Amino acid sequence: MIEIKDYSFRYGKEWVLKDINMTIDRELVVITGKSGSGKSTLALSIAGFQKSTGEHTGEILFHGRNIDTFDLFELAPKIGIVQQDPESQICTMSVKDEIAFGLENLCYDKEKIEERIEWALSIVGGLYLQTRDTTSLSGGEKQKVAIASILAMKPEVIIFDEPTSNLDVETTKEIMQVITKIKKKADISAIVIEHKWKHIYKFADTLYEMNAGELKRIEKPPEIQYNGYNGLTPVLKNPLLELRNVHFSYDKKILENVNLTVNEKEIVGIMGANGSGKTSLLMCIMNFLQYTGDILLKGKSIKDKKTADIAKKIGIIFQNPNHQIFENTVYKEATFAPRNFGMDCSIDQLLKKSGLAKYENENPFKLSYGEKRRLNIISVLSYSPEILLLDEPFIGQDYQNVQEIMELLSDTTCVIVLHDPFIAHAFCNRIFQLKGGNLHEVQPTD
Amino acid sequence: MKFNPLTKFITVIVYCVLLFVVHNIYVVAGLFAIPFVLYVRQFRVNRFIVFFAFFIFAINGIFIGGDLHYRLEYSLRIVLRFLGIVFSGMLFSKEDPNEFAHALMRVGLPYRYGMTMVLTFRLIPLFSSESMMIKKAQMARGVNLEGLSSVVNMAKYTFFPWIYAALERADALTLSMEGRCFGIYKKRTFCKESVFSYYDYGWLVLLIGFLGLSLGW
Repeated sequence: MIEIKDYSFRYGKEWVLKDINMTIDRELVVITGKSGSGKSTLALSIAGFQKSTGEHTGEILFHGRNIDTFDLFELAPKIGIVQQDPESQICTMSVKDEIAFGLENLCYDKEKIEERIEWALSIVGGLYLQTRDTTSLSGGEKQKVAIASILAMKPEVIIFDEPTSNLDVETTKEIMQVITKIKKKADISAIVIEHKWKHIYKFADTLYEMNAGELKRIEKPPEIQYNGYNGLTPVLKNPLLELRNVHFSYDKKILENVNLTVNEKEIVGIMGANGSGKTSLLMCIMNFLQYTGDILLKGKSIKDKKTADIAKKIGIIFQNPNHQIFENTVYKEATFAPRNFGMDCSIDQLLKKSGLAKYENENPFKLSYGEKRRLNIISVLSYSPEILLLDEPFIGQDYQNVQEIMELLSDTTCVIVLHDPFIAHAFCNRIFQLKGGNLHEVQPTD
Repeated sequence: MKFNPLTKFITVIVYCVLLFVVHNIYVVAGLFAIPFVLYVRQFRVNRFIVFFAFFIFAINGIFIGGDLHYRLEYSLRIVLRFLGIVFSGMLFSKEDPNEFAHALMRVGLPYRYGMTMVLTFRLIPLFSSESMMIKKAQMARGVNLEGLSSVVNMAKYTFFPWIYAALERADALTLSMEGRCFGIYKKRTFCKESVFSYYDYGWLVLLIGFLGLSLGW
């Protein structure tokens, strides 16, 4: 049983958590809230990882004993954390080794470890993964293994910190089902921190909303209504980008006879399961990958053009904001691409519109995740490419950030790879599903 | 019959030592022929290796003193040693690095170092794909990655995103490993057993005997 009494926490001057009070006793608790509101800090505090990183008042009790009096290793087998990105938390090369990892550290004998591996995998529905290498797993399978590796230690509490943020809709549903199954079968407390509460809140015993460090119990999840501006409305047919019979394969076929026309001022959404080839499609357009077929920009083939030349007309934003920040101030970063291309740029208006003007002399790596994403976007918009490709720009972004990103893109022709159907339906003129290498248009009634 | 990865590793080391302690050109040629014959089907001609072998042969042939026969024999011996070492790597190239690390821990390597090895093997492909992604992002932002300026630009614009990504990953991994009690005790158990069979012991005795004989001879 966990009791949190008047708990506040700060790293520097500002309190990140303010007077938190909650009790968790063998229940499924869902905590939702904006990015940066303090949800992950609360998770780490409960698991005992924040003792030496900041200052706190109040107390967190685990079975009546203050968390501060526990050694980290004393607490770790009792309170486990499953993190956002499964790739980052897997530290061995085979599924069995990964699930055995904690038990081996705790010096369990081989028979007991084998027994626990089977038990944990059966609960997450991953018995078929037992003999696999971790490198061969899909995103959802990796998250199942990460969950099983914590579950195998039979903790009393598992904290899931946005466990589905990198996953597609179907896999998200599957992982949420796994969490509810764990709660039932393993008889533990589960704390789920999640933006995508739609798939989990029905199973929650208690719902909380975190807002600027304050935790409030709520009966119903907050209504999310995007202020969308397209909502699957068609635009005038004025083709800007055309994909004609595009094929791409390496070990297996990834794209097969893909045909797509993107019109001027149109926002096209590309959806599909993890690994279905969405990113490869964008990489082909940029000529990072060798494809067959043809791709035309304003009626002219760009198949044989160099990426550097294509990039002047087609901007691209990659998945991870940190992989595409190269300068040491926000202003320099925002003007980086036009300087390289030798183009004029008007960045002041974009900095203001994105809310980043106040940080123009700050180091971009100090910005929040949402701010970094906006910086990525304005650093491409700064040289006004004809079309913008965005690869899953909404991962880890809350409702407010999504709205702000989409407002930045309101006058731009875009192809956006995304997972969230609500965002797609609010902002895209057309949506396509990539399945089995083929693109299928999603009808407004779907 | 499957040898333990550690046996294979020791075999490669002994083989390389033998290549250098033996001077008779026929024995050196015989040693060279062992991995060549065993792995000739898997071997793909690598232009760099061929070029480097010719280079070694030419340099030694030109700069070593003595008559023509001596110079040819000396150069050939060096080339055979070089190629022997390259081919012997084939013995180990298909080995699962995870099993090798477990074998080392089995014979006494402290588990903190052994698991660091496992972690390194696990992270190499991730860092490699992250580096590729950063390179693509640089190209998309117009960074010149051609000609002489490419080296400067790569160094200048890769360091920060790469370091930041590495630190982020290190943070997540620390949380993941400490959260599963890594380092709690001086020893840990292993679910995976690295097995040494009678074949391994027999082969190692033979090998060490052979090495001893060669050194004595």
